[in-house]
Amino acid sequence: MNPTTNSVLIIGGGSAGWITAAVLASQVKQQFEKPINITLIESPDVATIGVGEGTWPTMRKTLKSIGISETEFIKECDVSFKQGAKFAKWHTGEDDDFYFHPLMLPQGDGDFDLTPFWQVYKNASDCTPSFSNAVCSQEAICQAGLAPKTITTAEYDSIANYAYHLDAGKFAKLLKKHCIEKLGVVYTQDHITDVNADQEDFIHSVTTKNLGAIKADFFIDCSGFSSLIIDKHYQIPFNNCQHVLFADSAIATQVPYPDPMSPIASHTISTAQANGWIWDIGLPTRRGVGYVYSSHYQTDDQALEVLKSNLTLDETSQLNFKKIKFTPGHREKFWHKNAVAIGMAAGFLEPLEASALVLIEISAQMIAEQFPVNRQSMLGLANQYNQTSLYRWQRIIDFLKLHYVLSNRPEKFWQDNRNPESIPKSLSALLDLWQHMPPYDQQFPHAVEVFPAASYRYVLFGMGFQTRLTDHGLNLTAKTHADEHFQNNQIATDQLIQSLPNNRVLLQQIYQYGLQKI
Amino acid sequence: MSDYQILDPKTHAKLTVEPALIFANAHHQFAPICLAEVPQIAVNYPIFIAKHPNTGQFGLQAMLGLNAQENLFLQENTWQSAYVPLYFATQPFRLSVEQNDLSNAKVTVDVEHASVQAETGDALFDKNSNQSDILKKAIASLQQLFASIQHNQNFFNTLSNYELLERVQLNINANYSSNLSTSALYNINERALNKLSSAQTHELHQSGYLAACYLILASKLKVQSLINLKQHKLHEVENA
Repeated sequence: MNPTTNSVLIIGGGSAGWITAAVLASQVKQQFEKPINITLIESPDVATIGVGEGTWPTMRKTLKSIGISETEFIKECDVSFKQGAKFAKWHTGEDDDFYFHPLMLPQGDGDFDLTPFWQVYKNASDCTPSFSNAVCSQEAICQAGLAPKTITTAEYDSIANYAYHLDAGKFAKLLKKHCIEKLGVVYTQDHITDVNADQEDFIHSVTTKNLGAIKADFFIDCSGFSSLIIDKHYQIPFNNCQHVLFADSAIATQVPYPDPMSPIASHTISTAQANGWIWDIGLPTRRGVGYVYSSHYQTDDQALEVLKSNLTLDETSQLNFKKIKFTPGHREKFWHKNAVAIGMAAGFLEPLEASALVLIEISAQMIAEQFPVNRQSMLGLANQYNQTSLYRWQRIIDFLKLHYVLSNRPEKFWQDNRNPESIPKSLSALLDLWQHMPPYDQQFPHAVEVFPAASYRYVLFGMGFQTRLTDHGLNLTAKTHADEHFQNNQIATDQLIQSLPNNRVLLQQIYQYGLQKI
Repeated sequence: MSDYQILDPKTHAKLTVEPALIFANAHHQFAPICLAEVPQIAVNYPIFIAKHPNTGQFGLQAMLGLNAQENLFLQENTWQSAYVPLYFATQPFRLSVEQNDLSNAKVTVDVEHASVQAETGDALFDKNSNQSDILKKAIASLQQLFASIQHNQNFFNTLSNYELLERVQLNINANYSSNLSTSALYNINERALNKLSSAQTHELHQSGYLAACYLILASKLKVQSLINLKQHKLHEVENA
C-alpha cells in the first residue's frame, strides 16, 4: 500500500506549529498543482509556553518566503532588532568581564583568516581591541545603541546582519492569521484524546473531544512538552543530556521600562550567575528577563532571589514570575513512520543561543522542500531527516557547552561544567584541534550547519581561548593584508556609527512610515 | 542657513524678493517634483525615484547634475531650461503643513535667502497689505505642488502593490562624474509594467498613472542631455 500524501495534520498552535504550517503551506503551494490539505489543530485547554523571544537572522528569509511584510511583523509582534548577544561575566565573573557574539561575519571571512594576526597583537598588548571589535563592526553598533539598518533600507535587507527579539504570543497570533487568511491552512480547536494507528503502526487519525476523528496522511507533532505522538504514542526514547548541560529550570518575568523612550538594547544580554545565567531581551514595550539555572545547585526560592537581586527593587514589586521546568535533551529520532516532531516535542535546550526557533525553521523547510509525497517515500526521508537532525542537536549541545567549558568561574556549578566527563567527545576533539588552529568551516561537514565557524571563533576568542601560534611564523605579505583588513574594519565601523539611527528611533519611524518592499 | 518664517503682512510688510537671485540655493543634483509636473519635467530632465532619507517614502526627483551639488542648468543665476521645477521656481517660499492637514497649509518665506537679503527686489505686499503679483504667482504654484502630494502617495502605493519599482545603478563615465550621489535610485520596471494584465493596465490608465510611468521611463533619454551639458561646460573651462 502506498497512499499519496494529500493531507497534513499539524498538532499544536504555538510558534512551532504555526511556523511549520506557514512554511509548509507556502512551499507546497508553489510546488504542486493539486492542493495539499494542511490543518492545524490546537487544544483550547493547553496554554503555550511563549517565552521563545529571540530569533536568528534566518527568520528574515523565513518570513519573507511565507509572504509576511516585515513592517506588519514589526508592528504586530512587538519586535525589536537583535544584532547578537553580549555575554557578561562568563569568563572571569568580574564586573568588567564581557564579550560579544555578533551576527556579522568577521572581515575577510571565507577567504582570509584574521585570527592568528589578532592573536599576535593580543599577546603583545592588552590594549588590543577585543576579537569581535577587531574583526567586525557590530559590537560597536550595539554598544552605541544603534539599529542595524535605516528607514530607507528595504524590508528584510540589512546594513548590519540582524535577527529579532519578539513577543512569542503575538508572533503565533500573526502567523495564525496569515496561515488562515493567506495560505489556506484549516484551523481547528479541539482537544485530542487519542492517536489511532493502522496495522503497520502508521497513524491514520486522531480522536478529538468534540469533532470525533480527524484523518490525515502525515502528522506533524508540535504539541510541545506533551509530545503527543513521538513520546506518548510511539514512545521514542528521550536522549537526556543533563550530564552535559546542567540547566533544568527557568524563571521568567517581564519588566517595564522606566520611560517609554528608554533605549532598547539591540542585542540579547546574557549574564552568568553562580549557578546559571540571566537573559535580558529588550522589546519596544518591555524587557523579557529570565534566570536559567540548575535545580541541583540551588532551590527555586534561591533562584527567585537571584533573579530579583538582578532587577532594581521597585521593579520587582509588581512583577509576575513564571516557573518553567524542563529536561534538557531530545528524542532519539524525530520522524517515525508518518509522523515527525518539531519544536519542544522534539526536544529542548536552554535558550543560550536562541536555537529553538531556528531549529523549527530549518526542520519545517527540510520537510517542505522534500515533501513526503507518499507513504513509501517516508522511510528514506525519515532516515535522512533523523540523521541530519541528530547531527544538528549534537552541534547545538556542543556549542552551548563550549560557553561553559571555557569559563574560569570558581563556583562548583562552573567547575563541574569543566569536568571532562561532562564534555561530549565531539567537543573535546574540536577543542584539541583548536589548540593548533582556529575553527574553519571545513571542520563542520554538513551543508546546512547550524553555527558557522565564525560563531565558534567569537565565543572562543571572546573567552580568552589561545590557539597556539605556529612555529612556521606568519607571512609578511599576509600580515600587511591583515592590517588592511583591521583598518578597513575600523573605517567601516566609524561610518556605520555615523550613519545608523538609534534603535528605538528606527522602530518609531517604521511604525509611522513603514519600510518599503524594495 | 535657511530660516523659514510664516509669511505675515505685518511682520514682513517691507520684505522684498530679488527675482534675479531666487536660484541662489539651487545648486542641487536633484529637485523633488510632483506627479503633476511629470509631463513638463520628462521632456527636460531625467526623472528618477528616490527614498526620502527621514521617512523612507518614495518621491519623484528630477536629475539636474551628475555630481552631488551640481546643477548643470544654472548659468550664473539664470535657469537654462524651458521648465523650472516648481520646488525651485517657488523659492524663497515654501508651504508649511502640520500633521498632513492640507487645508491649513501656511506660506512661509526663507528670510535668510539671498533673494530676500538682497538690497534690491520686488515688494511682497503693497501699502494696504495686499499680496503683490509675484507673491500671488508663487502661492498658486505652491498650491499646485501641494495638491499633488496626496497624489504622489497613491501613485507609489500603486507602483509598490504591482511591484513596478526596481533599483537602478547609474553608470556614467567617470570623466564626468566623480561622486555620483550614493543614495539608491529607483526606476519603473519596464518588464513588470508590460506584464500587467489588461485589467491592471486599465486601472493604471484610469488613474493617469500609466502615462506617468511611460513618461518616467522615456525621460531616461535625458541622461544623455546631462552628459552633453557637462561636456560642454568642461570644454568651456578648458577653452577659457
